[in-house]
Amino acid sequence: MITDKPDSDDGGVSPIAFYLDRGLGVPTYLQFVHQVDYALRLGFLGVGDQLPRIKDVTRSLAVNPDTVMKAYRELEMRGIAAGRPGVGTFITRAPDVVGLKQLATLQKKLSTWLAEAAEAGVDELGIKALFTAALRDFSDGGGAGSRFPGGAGARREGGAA
Amino acid sequence: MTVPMISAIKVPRMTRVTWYKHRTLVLGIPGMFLLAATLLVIDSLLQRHWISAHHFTNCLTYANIDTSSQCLTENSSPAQGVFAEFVNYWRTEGAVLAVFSLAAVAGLFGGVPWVAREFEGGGFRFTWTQSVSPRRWLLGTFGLLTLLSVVAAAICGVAAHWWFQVAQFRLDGGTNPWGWESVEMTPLSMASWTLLAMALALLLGVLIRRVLPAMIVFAVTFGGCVLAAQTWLPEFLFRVGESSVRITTNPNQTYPEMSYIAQTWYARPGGPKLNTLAVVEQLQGYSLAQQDRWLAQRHLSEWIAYQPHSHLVWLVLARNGILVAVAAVLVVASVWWLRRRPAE
Amino acid sequence: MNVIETVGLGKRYRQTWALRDCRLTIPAGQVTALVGPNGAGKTTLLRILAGLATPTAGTATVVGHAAGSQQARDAVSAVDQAVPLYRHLRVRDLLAAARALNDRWDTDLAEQRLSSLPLTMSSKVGKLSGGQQAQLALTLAMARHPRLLLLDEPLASLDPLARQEVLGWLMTCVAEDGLSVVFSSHVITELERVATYLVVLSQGQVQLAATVDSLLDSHLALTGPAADADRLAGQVPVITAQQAGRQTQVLARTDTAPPGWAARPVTMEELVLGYLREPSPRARPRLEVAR
Repeated sequence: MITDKPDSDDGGVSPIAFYLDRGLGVPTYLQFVHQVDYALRLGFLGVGDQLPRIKDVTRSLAVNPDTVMKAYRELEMRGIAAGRPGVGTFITRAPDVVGLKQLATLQKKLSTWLAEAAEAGVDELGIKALFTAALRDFSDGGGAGSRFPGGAGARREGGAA
Repeated sequence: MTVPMISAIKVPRMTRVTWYKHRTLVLGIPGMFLLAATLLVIDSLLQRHWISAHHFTNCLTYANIDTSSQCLTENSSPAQGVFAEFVNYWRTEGAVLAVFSLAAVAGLFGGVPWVAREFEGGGFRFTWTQSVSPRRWLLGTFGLLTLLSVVAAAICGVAAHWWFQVAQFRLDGGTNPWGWESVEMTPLSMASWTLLAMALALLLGVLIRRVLPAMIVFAVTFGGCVLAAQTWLPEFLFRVGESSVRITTNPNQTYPEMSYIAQTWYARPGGPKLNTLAVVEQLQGYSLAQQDRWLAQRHLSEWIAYQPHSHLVWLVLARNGILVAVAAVLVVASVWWLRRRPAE
Repeated sequence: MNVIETVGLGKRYRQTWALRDCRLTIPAGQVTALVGPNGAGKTTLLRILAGLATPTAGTATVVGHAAGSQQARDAVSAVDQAVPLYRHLRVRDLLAAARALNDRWDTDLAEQRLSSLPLTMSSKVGKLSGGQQAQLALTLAMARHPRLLLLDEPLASLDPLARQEVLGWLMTCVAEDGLSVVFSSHVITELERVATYLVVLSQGQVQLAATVDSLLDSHLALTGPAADADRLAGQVPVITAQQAGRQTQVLARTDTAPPGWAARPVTMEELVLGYLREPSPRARPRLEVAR
């Protein structure tokens, strides 16, 4: 169990603060995981930074402490964070960032596909629908868990965490 | 920082809760008794002063003689006028009734609202979710009011008894140690009736849980209790262990002074009781000597069932003991009912 | 340790059974949401657990003692729907009375919280607004340092900001003191981030009693052709099904989607609404998974 015991009221221990997006339909703990991820990508969080104390999150957002603990456990499982008993939870590793060159290749492939779709007569809405459906299918892995890096499906298939 | 409290000192804490919650009643009900006591004492002091100022004290005796004639022999006829003034000064019966009804007032306006309002107002759901058990709370707070009321009633009873020593001579029927006024104007009787009233109020409050209906039922029930007690007293209790004596011309064969006369009848030696009315009808118009002869001819004697005055104290004690016992039963019933239905 | 255990619990008022044959086993440290339509028996259940009502049938045990017993009442705080207080007292007298009525009392906590509320010590309790009374009742309940807190929709009268603050405070107490909470609520959207255990009551009977985690893991929202809906019912336990044209949306108790059906994880809202809509058929086995 990850507990934050030091009772020092020095608020603002962590560089980031969690927020809730109720309309998403995504479980709260996953929202926190994603927020940590984005913060890492955007540079707000770095290796060695402390994540918000469970006590602070429960008080400010009125969420169950279990939810925060689940999020931090998920991050631990992904190898991104680690808990230090009595101190807090800290970032240990930034997620693999895809190289710029890889990104450029992927973007070019995407543009080609868009041209093909437009030629076939699919309009903008149709393209969005196609993409959303495909993304969701890939995410769920047909119920076996996401095949994205770090997702349950990927782990089951022996994918890299 | 937590403040741990010792459970052993719960009673004083209940006192505090009682004070916060029911200041008016805790002061008002005993206060009512004490106010009445004060008024009685003042009134009696005024009376006694008046009597001694008019040299009247010797007129007031317990003898079975017409009081006014006693005064006439003592002094001259102006004394008669003074006595009449004394009698008309204040209605003793009314005052006795007022003092006696204080017990009912305590139960009706003190006890019943205390308990019933706790349920009607919803406060019981707060009380019953704290650390003190409902029973302990009720007995600790209501018990405190009852204790104070009973003690105050006893004090009032002492004052009433002292007042009654003089006031009884103004009663319509004269002094009567066996009359209900004499019985009730004592500390023990007043305390017992007050205890019964509070116990009844407790039970009705716990049963009915609505102030107005509980008050109505209390008035009816308590009134019934009083009525029953007053009729039962002379007809049954005062006859327990009574003695009978046959009236003859022998002056030694008679009943002692100030006895309670329960019944008179006529009978032949070893024979059944005759219809008294029929005999008295027959004897009408005859002189005393003729009546004696008429009775002797038929071998009839007059019999009297009586209770000697020495037994009065014990009988009244028994009566009050019964009131206290009934009160105890009512309290037990209340606690049992409360355990069955704590807070619904 | 189970903080609440009921076996065959039933409560009858005159001729109707407000609660019937309730079996609950809730571990300690959970925040339990009690959900159900009005008249489902939530208030009755909470009152029995608080010791305010005696069961007609069965038993109820809280923190290891019989509900309503002295030890249970020591360790359990309850704020009833009516927000019971001594309304004719002033706030400071009520505080003093509450302190006198309890063995365990945290004066500092009570004063601290009350000072942060917009009410004065000398105001009469009955004159306070509904929200202020609710805050006061909650403060008094928490100052007893209970192990179990029972709340019957007491937050309903609070404004959104106060509600957020109170919930946040309660969650902190759950985190720091291991407090267990059972609260009845109509606000389903709140359940997912606050509750770890869910109990669904309907018509006096427990429809569902399980941890939120196990529920979310064991249910899926399936989408597929309406024509296959009946066949699906034979394959997996179907909780609700909603048809829209040729498509049908199904809430099913399964963790793998049958072929031909698109699956996604359910939200708490969908889960609760699904079980509330469907009255319990006795044939369907009850789901009860302890943590």
